[in-house]
Amino acid sequence: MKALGWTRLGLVMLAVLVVHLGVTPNLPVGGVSAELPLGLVIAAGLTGGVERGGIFGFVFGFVLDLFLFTPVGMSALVFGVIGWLAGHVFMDRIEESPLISAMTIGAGTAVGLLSFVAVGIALGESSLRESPIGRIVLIASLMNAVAAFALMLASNWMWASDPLGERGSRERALRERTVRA
Amino acid sequence: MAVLDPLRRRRSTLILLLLTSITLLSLDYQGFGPLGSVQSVVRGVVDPIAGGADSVTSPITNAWRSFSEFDDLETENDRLRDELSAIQGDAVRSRAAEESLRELLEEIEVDYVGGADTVVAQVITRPGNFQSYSVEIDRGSNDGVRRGNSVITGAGLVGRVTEVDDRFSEVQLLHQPDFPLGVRVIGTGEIALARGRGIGNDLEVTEGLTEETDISVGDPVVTSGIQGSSYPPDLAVGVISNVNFDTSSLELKVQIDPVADLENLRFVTVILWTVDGEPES
Repeated sequence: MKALGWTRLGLVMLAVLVVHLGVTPNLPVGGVSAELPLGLVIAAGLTGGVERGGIFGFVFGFVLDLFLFTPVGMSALVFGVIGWLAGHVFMDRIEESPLISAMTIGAGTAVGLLSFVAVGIALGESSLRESPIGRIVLIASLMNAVAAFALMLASNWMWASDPLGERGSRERALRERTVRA
Repeated sequence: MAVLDPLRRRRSTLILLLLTSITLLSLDYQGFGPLGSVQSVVRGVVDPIAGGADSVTSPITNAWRSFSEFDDLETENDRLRDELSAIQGDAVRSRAAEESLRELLEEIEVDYVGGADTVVAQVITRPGNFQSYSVEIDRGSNDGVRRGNSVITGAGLVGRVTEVDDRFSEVQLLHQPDFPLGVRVIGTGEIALARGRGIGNDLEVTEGLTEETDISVGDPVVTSGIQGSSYPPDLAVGVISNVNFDTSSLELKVQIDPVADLENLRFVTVILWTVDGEPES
């Protein structure tokens, strides 16, 4: 069961990475392309909970770092925290609604991109200042919100086989919430 | 076995993630070798798949671009036609000038870099929406590329190689702030030091020119190639775009408009030449 879970996790990461590297740069809107890896991390937190979201965000961020000019560890840091925060949103949410998911992924993308720029500038990556940050954040967030349904489907499928055990999972969170109530 | 309560466990997870990320950043800043190896392996696996996805989806993405960027493409086509006519005229003149230059340099026993080996490379698009002062090219140490090699386009100097992998290299572009570049103004022969000022901005001359210097807007600028310079001599850099004497600081402010289009690079040429003829450490 765990092997299946890891396989699904790897497949989803690879698929989103390949689309991010090979497809979305060629489908820009207003010169901006979707930030699907960040959207997937938020979806992973929303569907998997705090710890899964954090760990998945960190790992996917690290993999993405290997393809960027920014220092290795920067995306891992931002994505890890965003996945962790998205997991908290999930913990406080009782009803599942596609619209709320889309809005959460859109808003989370904006927070993630702004955090990425802030961390980058703090680390001396001054080229980030020269990008049209407002336009990138606005358009990428909207695009990720549009892609939210697919991202939620992918992350639900990814967690269905429970590769990280029950740690921080939806079932456990619901149980904890019930106990607290 | 003691079990952490959920809240503490979640906080521990976050702290662990933060510490691991900071460790990674520290290792990267120190140039930790194994990170480069991991990067090479992962990219070796993913890049071909991404390239395949790009090819498979190109009919759709091309259609999208044609639809969304039609007006821009039409304008750019017109501009490129005009540029091509001008370049064809320039090419004839520069062939004659190059020949004269080579003969002259041979007479005074200066290395002619026009005879150095070169390798053509394609610029690889890195993911993400944010701009960078660097680009990546699909040539590395396997192709003879070394740190410090100059990179040019048909128009002129683009930058220099700063990182080299087996199959890829990173090129730092001229517009990076504080990118130092020794230049010479054609006509006057004045030698100066110019520096980048960010994406889309002209280079600024920071040292070497005084108010007595006789230069004017439009003067062409090439690499100086003086002893110790990191670049071979006489690579086209740009033209003087602004000359202004600042009466408050009593300094001559000179700016250079690079001739190479640094924001739309697709193919570049790496000159396999370093200042000392040896790889930089």
